[in-house]
Amino acid sequence: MLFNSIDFAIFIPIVFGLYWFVFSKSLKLQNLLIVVASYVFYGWWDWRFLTLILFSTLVDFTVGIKLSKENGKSKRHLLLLTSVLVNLGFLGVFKYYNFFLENFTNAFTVLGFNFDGHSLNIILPVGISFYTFQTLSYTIDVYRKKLNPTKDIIAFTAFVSFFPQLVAGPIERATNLLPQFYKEREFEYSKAVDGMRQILWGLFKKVVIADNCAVFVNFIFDNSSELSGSSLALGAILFSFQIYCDFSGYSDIAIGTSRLFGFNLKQNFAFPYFSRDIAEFWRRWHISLSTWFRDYLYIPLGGSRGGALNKVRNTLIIFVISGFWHGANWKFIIWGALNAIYFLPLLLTNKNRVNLEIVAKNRVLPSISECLKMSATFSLVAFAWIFFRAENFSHATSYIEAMFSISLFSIPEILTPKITMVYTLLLIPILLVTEWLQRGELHGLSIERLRRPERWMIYTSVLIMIVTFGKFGESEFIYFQF
Amino acid sequence: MRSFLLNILYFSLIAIVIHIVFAYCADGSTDEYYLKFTSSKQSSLVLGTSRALQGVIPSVVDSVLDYQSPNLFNFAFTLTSSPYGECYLDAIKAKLGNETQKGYFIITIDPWSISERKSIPPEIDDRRSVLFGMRNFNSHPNFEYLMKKYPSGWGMIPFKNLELMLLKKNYKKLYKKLNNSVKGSFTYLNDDGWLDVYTSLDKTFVSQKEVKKFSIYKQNSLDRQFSTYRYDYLIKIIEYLNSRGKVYVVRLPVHPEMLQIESDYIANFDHHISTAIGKSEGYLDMTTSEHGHNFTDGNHLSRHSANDVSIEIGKWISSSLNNDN
Repeated sequence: MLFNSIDFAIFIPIVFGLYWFVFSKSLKLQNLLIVVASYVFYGWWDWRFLTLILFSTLVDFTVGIKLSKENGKSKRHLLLLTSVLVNLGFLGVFKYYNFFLENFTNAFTVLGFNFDGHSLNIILPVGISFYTFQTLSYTIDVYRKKLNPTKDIIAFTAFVSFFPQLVAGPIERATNLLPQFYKEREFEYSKAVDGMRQILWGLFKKVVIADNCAVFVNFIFDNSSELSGSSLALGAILFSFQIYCDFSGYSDIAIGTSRLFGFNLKQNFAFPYFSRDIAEFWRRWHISLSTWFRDYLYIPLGGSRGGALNKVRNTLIIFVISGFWHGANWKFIIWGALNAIYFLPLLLTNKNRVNLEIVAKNRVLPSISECLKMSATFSLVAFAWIFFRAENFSHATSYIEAMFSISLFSIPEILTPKITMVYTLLLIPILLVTEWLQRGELHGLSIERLRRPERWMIYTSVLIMIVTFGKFGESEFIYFQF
Repeated sequence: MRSFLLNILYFSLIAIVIHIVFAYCADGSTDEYYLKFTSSKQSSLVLGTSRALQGVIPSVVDSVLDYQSPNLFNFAFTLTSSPYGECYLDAIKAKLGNETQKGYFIITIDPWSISERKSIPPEIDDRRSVLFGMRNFNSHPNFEYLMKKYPSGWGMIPFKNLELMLLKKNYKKLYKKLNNSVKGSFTYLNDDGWLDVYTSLDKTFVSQKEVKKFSIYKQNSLDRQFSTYRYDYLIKIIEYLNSRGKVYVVRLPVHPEMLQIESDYIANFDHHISTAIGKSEGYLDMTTSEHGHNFTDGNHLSRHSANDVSIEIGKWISSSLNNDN
């Protein structure tokens, strides 16, 4: 089920009503309702893949219980390995099998051997990369004794399948989300209203900005060989806004929806395009994934301890794996490696933690130097996005080659439909100004400090923008494919 | 909780009121199909794909046949939305009035409207149709259509009204420009269901579009094949409409190069559809004549030629009716 669909608009009030009015007396029933609602939500797309989630849930629940009873190091290790193998096994089969097969076949062919493997004709279950990482965080934390294993199967199932963030995150840690299923939840007016604001802002980002940008991005990337360098540069910039608004819009709706049910999810995006360097960008972009890799991969590898060589190795590993997490394609690996190359100079010169505060704190406008730094960071990020969006690596290189031609300095071709282009280019500044003013807050529409008439004026304006400029073809969120 | 629900109610009311206001602004500028879902039930129809959508003007045919009030309605869509099939038949049934007995129906055919993609069964392919899943074809505003099929926010509706008003106001200037330098187009769906396409007829511009269109259809001829399913449904549609009036089968003119692509794709086309022709009042093949018509892209007739073709069809039906009498 898509957040930007009529199905969801009907689904959510029903679940909300049952949750607060029918099952409010019993925590167990509320959790059970969340499980049922989550399975309906996911099954709306393809019910067959519910078995994967269920299996993953049962394995990790059992592993957790067994870990609590087991003190032997090797047995505990074996239990952890079971969970890791099951979860990554699913990922491996559904997401990476064909990629590895194809590359092995190519490698064997180059070496003169004839290797004929059978590729699998399977579809990628939506959100598999998200929920497997979420359940893995549980077993790893239990293994590390940072978290007591749960004996409540319903709470655990609800934690794994919690519908607002099931298919595209934020990837919640068991230490944050699971305990919330144990506690009685009370309806909080301010929390629910702010949740609604966040949903409204997420919808604006998705259906107004991302989906309108998508019209041109698709055209530009599909016809890149025929367009001028300036149009291709425009394509990269528009894709930067598309992917940000698509993904952070999803996160906003997910977090806002969770708040309606009394849950607090972690912030997943903290206005990343206002970053002054690439390290700051990665602290603000897809925070739940970055911190997951930091805690479960980078730090166990040694982190930034040790010599320069270790730092370089560890950084490269997490960026490349992070790229590979996004998809079984070399273009994602190159995208990850490119970001590592951006990041390494800052790490090696110990400048990766210079910009920890928000930009222009306590000021309305940034300084010229801050503007230049933000522009430079955005340019680097937008350049890397070309690899992310292109069909494959060779498409990305030809795109870049054509972009850096003399026509880069020409006026971009006016793309049809022109009127959509005009309002898309006018709406992006509205997004930027709003988010700039809100950069110290949790989301773009966190406006409880304003007076009621002002708030309602803003709600109505955002609603009119959604209703006027939004695209409602039930387009999927980009991150569903990961 | 109470004040939260009240706030949600207020907000929802604002949203609903805005949507209702916008829905009432919807007209022929909204998109290429909307008015086809809002007109009342009809007695006579033009059927087919985009060639008929742009190429047969009901008011012109009606006037040749001396109908004083609008009678014929263009219920043609596109190759994706209205190839012959169950989906289209259901829509036709919904669009026709129950009491209709003396209607006349112009069914346009070409190799594409009775073909299917090799990679996908036609029943599944028809899910892409704008007709798929629609129940309501006759209400204004048509909330079902706007909710299910309109791809933009409804606020775009008055926006489009305004845009079209400005375009039409400056049409003469614009038309001059269209034929000189401006390479663009805009469309307006008339009340009779005919899609008016304002586009440049500049030779260079048109020939660029022709090259693209011919290449698409050459590829189509590789990806598609004659469809028994679609042909059976063409016959079913003719049989159904025979009970409601007279059915005339027409093949609209196309650019000679497009005709060649079609001949290479399905040779001896008329022979393939002989059963369908046999069930109708007659068959007018307009591709064979030295027509001299203009096309916007080699596939669709220009506005001016659509008028000429509609007169020709009207005269042919008229003579057929006279012969019957």
